[in-house]
Amino acid sequence: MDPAQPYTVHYHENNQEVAIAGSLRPRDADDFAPVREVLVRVAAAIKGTLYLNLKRLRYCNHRAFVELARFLEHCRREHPELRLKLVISSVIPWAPIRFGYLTELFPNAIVEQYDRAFYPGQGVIESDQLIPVLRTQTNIVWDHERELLRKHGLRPGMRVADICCGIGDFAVLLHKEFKPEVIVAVDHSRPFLQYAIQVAREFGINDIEYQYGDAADLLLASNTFDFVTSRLSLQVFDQPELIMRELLRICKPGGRVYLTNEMMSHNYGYPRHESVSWTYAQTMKMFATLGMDLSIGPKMYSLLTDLGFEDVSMEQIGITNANTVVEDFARVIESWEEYITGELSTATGQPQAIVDRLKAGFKDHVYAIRSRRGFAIWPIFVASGRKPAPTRESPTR
Amino acid sequence: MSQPSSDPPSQQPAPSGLAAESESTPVVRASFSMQGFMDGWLHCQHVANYLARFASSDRFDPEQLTTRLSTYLNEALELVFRSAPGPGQLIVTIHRQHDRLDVALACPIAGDDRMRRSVRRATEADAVATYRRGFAGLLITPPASEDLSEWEADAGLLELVALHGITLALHEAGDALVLHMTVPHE
Repeated sequence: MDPAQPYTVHYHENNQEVAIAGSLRPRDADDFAPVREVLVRVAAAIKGTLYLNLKRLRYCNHRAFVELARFLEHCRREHPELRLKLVISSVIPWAPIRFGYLTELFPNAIVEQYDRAFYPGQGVIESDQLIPVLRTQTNIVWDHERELLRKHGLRPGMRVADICCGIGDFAVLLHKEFKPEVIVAVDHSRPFLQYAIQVAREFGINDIEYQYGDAADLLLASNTFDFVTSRLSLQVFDQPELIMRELLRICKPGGRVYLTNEMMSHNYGYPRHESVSWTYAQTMKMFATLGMDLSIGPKMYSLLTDLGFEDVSMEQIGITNANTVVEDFARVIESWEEYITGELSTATGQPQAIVDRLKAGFKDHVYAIRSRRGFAIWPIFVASGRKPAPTRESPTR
Repeated sequence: MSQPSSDPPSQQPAPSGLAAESESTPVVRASFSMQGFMDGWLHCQHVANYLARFASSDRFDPEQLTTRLSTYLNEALELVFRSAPGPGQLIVTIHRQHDRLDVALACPIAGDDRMRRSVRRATEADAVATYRRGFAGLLITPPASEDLSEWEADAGLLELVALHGITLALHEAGDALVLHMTVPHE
């Protein structure tokens, strides 16, 4: 962004949206005039709803805030039929405070905290109950993933970003194993980040930068990281392509984006496999009602390819009772049972009969894990791709 | 856009009241010649962004803290800019405490009384009611160019108190005015 003009204002006719981004700190009305001119012109030209996209407006001085309020007042007087929707992000800490105040004054304006809509299952996802599940999962997957990360290009001394870092334990393991030059771990859950920083402190690690952020609209600079990871996270969003674009943006040309995701319906346990399969199929449906696609694992190859990644590589980690400590594996499934038949079933309004059947399926999976003659698997898909070098025709932003 | 001043760093001593600001070591203490600072409006945000990022480094979620601190610091720096104090130094000192940041912003005493007036208005009882009343009035007045109305000029600081929970205080230290801002971490 031009330092002398540190903000942008664009009108997207197709969406009836004016997007203001950057740092809007005018000295006076003349300074604000270019923004006001766009706003007033658009308000006069459209009907219905005018969207003010302020998600990436990081700074706004009080002068600009007053001018935006004057524009709302202008609309109230001149275009009383026009509705205004102010789209903001909770990642910008002053935005909900200021724009929330404006909507008290203007009944024709509403504020949509975009990332609240984008993370529909967050209340369920960030429950305390889930933390032991996530820790145990990381522990057993890490044994397989440590070598895979090398195979997918991670080397010591790299600049690494872990997007949707959850409780941050993967970032800690990665820090210990690969000694990155820089590691930034971003998540949209404050409780998880609090937990992450507490764990890092207990381990005497103070050079992981934890950041509250929106994976679909990161505050990180473009072309910054050699290796960008996002593990078991695309599967909990209904618009993973928005996150993929951001992972691509922050990755350096020649760097790699590394993803892992599940295909829950392929979880399997023998014997009693019908019961196990039904349980995971039902669980996928429940997650889907919260906007989460727990079958996205195999789709990552096309996601990476469609975005123009090169050298796309994909494989599967098969966590089985033959290659993993049986009790650890069983504990993961038991913690899934507790979470899915408890909090998730409540959140998605499951009747008791369904909850009972889910419980039976999880117990059958655990039985397969612990049985001397049983076999159980939890497949995780791993994919990575290299960001191409920019061309004159397609500069990176 | 004006370029940053190429004035050499001033050798003037800090305003006398700053010496006893705090026993602890500040995380950052920066001085700028007023002449250089006043060269360009964008200096307010450049200084605010740089100092906020510096003071927020190595903290929990530095990006969030940078955004907040820069927002608050910028309002104070804009007030200094608009007050147009005479020659001397602008000195910004930031101390990190476990639950807050203490910011002190010292500048030469200006010819007009704008800074004292703004802080007085921002620290009167019931800042929220004052802000709401004044803000509603602003909306029905046309936007002003160079000369803001008195209330609008003061509203930036008042908003920090009314909506953002910032605590403000002002004191005189020799030939300088020192604005103190207490910024809670969350």
